[in-house]
Amino acid sequence: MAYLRMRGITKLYPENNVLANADVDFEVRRNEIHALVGENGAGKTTLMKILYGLERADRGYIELEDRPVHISSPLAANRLGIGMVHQHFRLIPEFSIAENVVLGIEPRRRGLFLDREGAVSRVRAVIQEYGFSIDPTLRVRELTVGQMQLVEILKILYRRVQLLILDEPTSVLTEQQIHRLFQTLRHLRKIGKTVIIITHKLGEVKDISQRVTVMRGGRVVAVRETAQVDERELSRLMVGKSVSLQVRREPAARGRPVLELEGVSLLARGQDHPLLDGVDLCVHAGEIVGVAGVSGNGLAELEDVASGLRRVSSGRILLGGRDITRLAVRELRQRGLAYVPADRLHRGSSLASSVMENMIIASHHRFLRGGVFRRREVEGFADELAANFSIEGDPRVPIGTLSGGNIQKVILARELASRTDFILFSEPTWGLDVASSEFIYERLMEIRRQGLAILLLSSNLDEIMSLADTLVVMYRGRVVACLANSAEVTKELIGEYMLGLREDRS
Amino acid sequence: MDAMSQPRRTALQRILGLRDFGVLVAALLIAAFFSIATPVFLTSYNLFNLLRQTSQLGIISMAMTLLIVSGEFDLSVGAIYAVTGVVTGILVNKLGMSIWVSASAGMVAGLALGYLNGLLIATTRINSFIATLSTMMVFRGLALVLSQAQPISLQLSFFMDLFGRAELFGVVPVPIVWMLGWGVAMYLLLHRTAFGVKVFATGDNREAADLAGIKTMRVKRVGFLITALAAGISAVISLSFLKTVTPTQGTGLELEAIAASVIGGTAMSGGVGSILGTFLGTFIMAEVRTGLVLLGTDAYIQDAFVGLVIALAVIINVRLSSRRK
Repeated sequence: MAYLRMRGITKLYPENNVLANADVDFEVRRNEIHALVGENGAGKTTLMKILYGLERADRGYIELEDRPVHISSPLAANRLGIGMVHQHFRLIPEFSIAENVVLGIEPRRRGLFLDREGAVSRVRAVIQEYGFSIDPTLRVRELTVGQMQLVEILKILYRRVQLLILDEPTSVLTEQQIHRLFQTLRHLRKIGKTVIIITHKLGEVKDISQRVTVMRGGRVVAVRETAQVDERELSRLMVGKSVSLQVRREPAARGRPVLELEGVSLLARGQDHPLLDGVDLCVHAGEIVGVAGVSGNGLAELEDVASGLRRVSSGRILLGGRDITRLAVRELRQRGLAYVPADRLHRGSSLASSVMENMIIASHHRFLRGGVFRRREVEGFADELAANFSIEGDPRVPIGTLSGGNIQKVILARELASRTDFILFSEPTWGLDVASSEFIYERLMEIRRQGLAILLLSSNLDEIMSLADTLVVMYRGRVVACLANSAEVTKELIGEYMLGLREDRS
Repeated sequence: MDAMSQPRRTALQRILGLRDFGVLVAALLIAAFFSIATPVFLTSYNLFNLLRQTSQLGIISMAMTLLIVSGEFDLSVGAIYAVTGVVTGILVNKLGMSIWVSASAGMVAGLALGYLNGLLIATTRINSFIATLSTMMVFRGLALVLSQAQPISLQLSFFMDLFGRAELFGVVPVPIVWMLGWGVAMYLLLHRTAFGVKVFATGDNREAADLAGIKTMRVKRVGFLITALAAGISAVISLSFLKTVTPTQGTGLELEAIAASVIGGTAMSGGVGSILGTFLGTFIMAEVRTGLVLLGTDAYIQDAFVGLVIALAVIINVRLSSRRK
C-alpha cells in the first residue's frame, strides 16, 4: 500500500546535542500530496534530508515500493526517482534555464562538446510535456522567484523523478505564485507523481494535501486524512500542550514608554511583500514585551531594525521620546541600547577573542588611557562580571571554548554592565540547558524589577507566555495581536494568531 | 507557472548586452587614441610586434581565466614558466639532449608542478591564493637552484624557428599563431564543451554544482594542470625567441595574467568570464604599454598607467554587472 515507508528514523546532531528525529515513522502513499507540518525545529527538514541522501540517519530504514533502499547521496536518490526542491534554490545564476536543468547530465555531441541546442530542445520538450510555459533560454539571474522555483521543479522532472519533495516552497512566493504552484502540484499528481510538501502554513495544508503528518520535537505526533482534520486541531497538534515554566512573576510596575516603533516598515529588493509592514510597538519601563511568530514572519527583521543593524524603509523608532531611526549603532549604544542577539556565536561574540575581550567590547573606551588599555582595570572588570554572573573558567580563554550557556551569560553580563534602560533579547535561551535557561529567566525578572524596558523576541511560546507582560504576535511582517498576558490567553490562542488563523485588526 | 512575458531580445540588444562587447569597444577606443597621437601605432609592423610580445602573456591569461572562472587562482604560473625553461636549458646544455626531448621534459616538469598545486589545494583545502603564493616561491627557488642562478644560452635550430622566430608568410610571427591556436582551443574547452559548463557551474555556485553530481574538486585540479601547461608552452616560445633562459624570467607574469583576465571581464569571485574577453584584455594591456613607448613616455610611468587601466576596467565591469542584476 505505502509507496514510501521510513521506519524508526533517528538522527542526533552531536555538535549541539539535538535529537532532530527520534524514532520517526513516516509513510507516503503512491500518487498523493502529503503535507509534513510542524514548528521550526520539529525535525521535518532533517527527515527529508535523510530521505534525499543529504544526511545519514543514525538508526532506522527506508523502503520504497516495499523494497529496502539505501540512499547515500542525492544522486542515489535521483536514481530511485526521488527529487527535492530546497527551500533556498540551488541554481547557477549565470546559466540559462536549460543549462541549469541539464546540469550534471548534459547532452553532448561526439562525447565532448556540449549540445546547447539539444539541451534547449529537450528542456522545451519537458516544459511542454508538463504543460508549463517558460522560455528555456532565459538566464536564471533574470527570473522571478516563482520562475526560479519552476526551474527547480523542472530539474527534478527532467530526471524522471516520481516522488517530489518540496521544502517550504511557498515561503518566498506571492499569493498568485502560490496559486500557480499549487496548480502545478495538482497537475503533477494527476499524471501520477507523488509529492511531499513541507510547510507550517495550515491553510496550505488544507488546500493542497490529501494526508498530513504532524511533527513536534523530532517526533511524529499525528497522521491524518486532511479532509478529516480542521486547522484548529492541526494548530493544537503542532504547538502541543502548555508546559508552564516555573517563573515567579510579580505584576508589572509599568512606567513611561521607553522604546516606541511607529509604523515601521522594511522592504527588500526581490521581495514583493514587505518584511515588516507598518509595525507599531511600545515597550514601557519595567515591562517585558514578548513577540512571538513563526520564522519568516518578521521576527528576525524586527531584531535587525530594533538593534540598528538595518535601516527601516519607513516609520520611526523612538528611544525615551527621541527619534533614533537614523542613528548609527555606535550612537544607539551611547544612548543605552543593550542587545542580546539570537545568533550569539557570530553576532553576539567574537569566538576567537578571550572572554575578557568580549566583555569589554562594547565599553572598551572606558579602559583606555592614551590609547593603551589599563590591563589591571580590564581584568578587575572581567573578574567582577564573572563573579556576578557565575561564569565559570578563566576570563583569558577564548570565548569559543565555553559552553553555550556560559557564552550567553558573558553576553548578558556585558550588555547589562553599561548603564541602560532598554534591552533587546532575541531567542535568549535557544539551545541552552535548563539550568542556564533558568539563570537567564531570573536575570530577566530582576532587570524588569529594576525598571528596564525589555523587548523579548522568541519562537519558544512557553518562554514568551511565562515571561512577558504584553504578548505581541507577528504574521507576515504585521502585528496581528497585542494582548495583555493573563490566564485567559492560552497557547492555543497564540498559536492560531501565529499561524494566521486569527487576526486583530487595529 | 509564470507565462513567458519577456519578449525575445533583438540582435542589437544581444550584442550590446555581451560583456565582451564593452571590452572590444575599449580596445578600439584605446587603439584609436594612440593611432591619432602617433602615426607609427597603426602600422602592421607595430601591431604584429605588439601581438608577438603579448603572445606569452595571452596564452597564460586565457588559461588563468578558466581557473578563475572555476573559483581558484594560480600565482605560481610565472615560476612554473621559469622552471620549464630552466629544465629545458639544462637538459640541452649539460646533458646534451635534443631540444625536442628537453622541451618536452620541461613541459612535463611544469605539468607536475601544476599537479602539485591541485593536490595541495584538494588535500589541505587551503585558499589557492595562499597555497600558490607559497608554491610560487618554492618553484622559483627550484629554478634558481637548478640553474645556479645563471642564465643559459641555447643554439639556434629549426625548433627555435618553429616556436619563436619564424614568420608565417613572411609577416606573421609564429608566437602569434601559437597564441591564436591556444586561444581557439581554450575557447572551445570553456565555452563549447561539457567540461566548460562544469567549470562555470563550479565557480558560480559550488553547492549547486556538487548537488548536480559534478566533481568540483576535480574540475579545479584540471584547471591547475591547464595553467601549468600554458606556462610550459609560453616558456618554450620564450626560449625559442630569445635563445636563452633565465631563472628569474616570468616574475610578475601571474599578476599580469590575472589583470588581463579581469580587464576582460572575468569576475574574481568565479563563475563569470570569457576567453575572448581575456584575449582583448591582454591586447588592451599591450596596447597601452606599446602606445606609451611610441609616445615617448618615461618607461617608469607605464606601469602606473597599466594600473589605472585595470582599475578603470574593474569599475566599469562592476557597474555593468550590478545594473544587469
